[in-house]
Amino acid sequence: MTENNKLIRDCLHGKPAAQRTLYEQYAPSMLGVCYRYTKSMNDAEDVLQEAFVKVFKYLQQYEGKGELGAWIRRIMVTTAINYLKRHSRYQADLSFNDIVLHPVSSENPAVRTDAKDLADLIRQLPPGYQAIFNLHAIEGYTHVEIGKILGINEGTSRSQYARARALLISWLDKQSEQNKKKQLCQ
Amino acid sequence: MPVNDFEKQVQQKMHELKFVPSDAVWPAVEREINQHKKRRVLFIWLPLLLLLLGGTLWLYRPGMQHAANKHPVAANSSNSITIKTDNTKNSSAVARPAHEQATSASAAKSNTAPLPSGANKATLPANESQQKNNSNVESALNRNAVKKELVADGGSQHQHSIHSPKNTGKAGNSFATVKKAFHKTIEPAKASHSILQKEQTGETAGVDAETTGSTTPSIKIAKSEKQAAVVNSPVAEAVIEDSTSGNQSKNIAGQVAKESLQNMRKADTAKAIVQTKKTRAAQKIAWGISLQTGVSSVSSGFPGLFSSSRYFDPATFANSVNNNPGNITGGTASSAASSAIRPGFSYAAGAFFRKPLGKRYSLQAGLNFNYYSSHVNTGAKIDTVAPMLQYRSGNAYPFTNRFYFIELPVTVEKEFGKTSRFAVNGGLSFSWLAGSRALLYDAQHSVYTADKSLLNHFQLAVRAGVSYRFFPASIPVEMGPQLNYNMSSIFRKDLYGSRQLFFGGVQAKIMLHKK
Repeated sequence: MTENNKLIRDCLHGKPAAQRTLYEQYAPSMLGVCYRYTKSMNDAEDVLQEAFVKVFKYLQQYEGKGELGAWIRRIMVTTAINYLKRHSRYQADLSFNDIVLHPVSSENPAVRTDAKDLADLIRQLPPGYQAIFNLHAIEGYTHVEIGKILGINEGTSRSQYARARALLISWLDKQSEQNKKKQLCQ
Repeated sequence: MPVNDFEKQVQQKMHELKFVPSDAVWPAVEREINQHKKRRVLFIWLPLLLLLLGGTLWLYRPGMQHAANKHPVAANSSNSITIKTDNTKNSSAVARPAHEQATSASAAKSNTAPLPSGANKATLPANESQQKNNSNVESALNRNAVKKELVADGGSQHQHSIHSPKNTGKAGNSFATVKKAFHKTIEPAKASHSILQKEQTGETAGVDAETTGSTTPSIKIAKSEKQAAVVNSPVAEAVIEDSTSGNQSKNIAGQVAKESLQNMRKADTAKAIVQTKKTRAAQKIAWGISLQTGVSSVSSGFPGLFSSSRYFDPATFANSVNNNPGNITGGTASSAASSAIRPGFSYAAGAFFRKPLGKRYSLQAGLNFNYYSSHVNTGAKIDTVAPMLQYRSGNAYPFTNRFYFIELPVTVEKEFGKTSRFAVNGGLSFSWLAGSRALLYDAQHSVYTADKSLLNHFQLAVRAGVSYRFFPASIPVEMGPQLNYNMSSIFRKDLYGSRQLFFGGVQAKIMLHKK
């Protein structure tokens, strides 16, 4: 914590070495966050770059109450959502219509796939599902908060999430069955 | 398996997700950070540089250069009794005229210093000679009236030096120089030499009185005070030259006449100095500090200045929703849910300089730091995803919106009358929002957010006020009501409509220095 405080202080004093250290410390995990919200690595890196500029710009507002990583993660998420809103290629992802309906599942299956594969599955979710799933399941926002962030009703967020969850579980089940078959063949 | 276990597993897996960013990302981040830094530095220094540049141009504008060019004219004027303060220069400047100018002084200035060739003229009544001198002085003054008016700093300094004891000593040195020259060139004239020696010891008046015998009381004026001026003037040189002729009585009479002339000149020069000082006093550049305190708020146009306003006009809000569907302020919530904006405390401090434009008008410019505030009511603070502050809509908690500006005001002030201490001022100011901690209402999400990108960082304002001058003799303090009204909207006009910051309060200006 003390090391982190010193790092933050140095960053606030504009020391390039400290800024570089902070970037190197958090960039890999934060790129993972950006990756989940976008459809390509290039876009993820764009979001990462934009968000890190904000991190250094607003670092004096970090009060040291929570973990610095959590604070940076919030900036990443906000920047990613704004990025999606700004770019037309992501407009469909934020349309949130209930035309395509998917069954709701209350199952809690074990997740045996690795992080990269799981992230790729999340990125394949239909338009409107991905952001809500990320925000609720991974970032832990309530549906009320998600409604405010995305400008939708709380109910829409809730229903979209339930369907996203069910779809992902079905994909994971399929994936695990395929893996079992592969193992049997081998 | 417990409920939400799936989410926990996904969360855990996703926190493990890491990628190494490409090498191009950090240089891009670094470049943007540095650009931001440069912009910040530029915004801080640019107003100061502009102020400095403006001040320099002001001081060295063509009008001032002309005045400076006129100094040598004034210094060379035969009518201005300027004394070179530099002793080395004196020795050459005065010794040379002792040879060269003595003849020209007696010839060309025969009207101003008519040296008597006969005893009759030598015994001219003092009044008569004075009358002559008066006419001569008048003509000389008329010739050089313009030059006198233009006696500038250098000249006035020299003129001051006549009266100062320090410079009397210097004049004594000049006197010694003259004496030395006299010794070298006119050795045999011992009589005049003795006069000079006596003059140096302050006995001249007595000698004059003794020698002339019939001199008027005006002649008996103690001349020790005037020796410096006399010795350093061409007239004195004429006296020296005359003394070489051996005709002591003539010389003394001539000297007496020239003393009178000198008195007249000195009196006239003193008047000229006073006049010049008065003229210059009217054109002095003064500087000081300004302080102001009062209330500030955000108004919806000039008519609604003193009534509390809200963040949105209903019409603007509707347009904002239509034009910016994805924008932060777009949405379906009602604008009426936003808090009323109430006035808050405000202060400003800065420095200014003032340049008179005429008898009653003056131009003022300066640099101020302004603090404006206003009050709103909000709900609870949101532990937000954004790096900026966010509050829920509501009336539970008061919040003070704070705005920090760097301001460059330029005003014209008019005094009501010569003797009146009242003045009225009006002008414009250009300001830059150096910092803020202000909440803006996001109608779509019914939250308040401290998003600085929704503020206009540059403001143009009109300002006006009335002031009364206290302590005009010692440290003048001008105090009175002041009103500043920002013509630029403080919030983004396309989203919030026209919302202007204004200030109303008392301003005090303390004059610290007159150049």
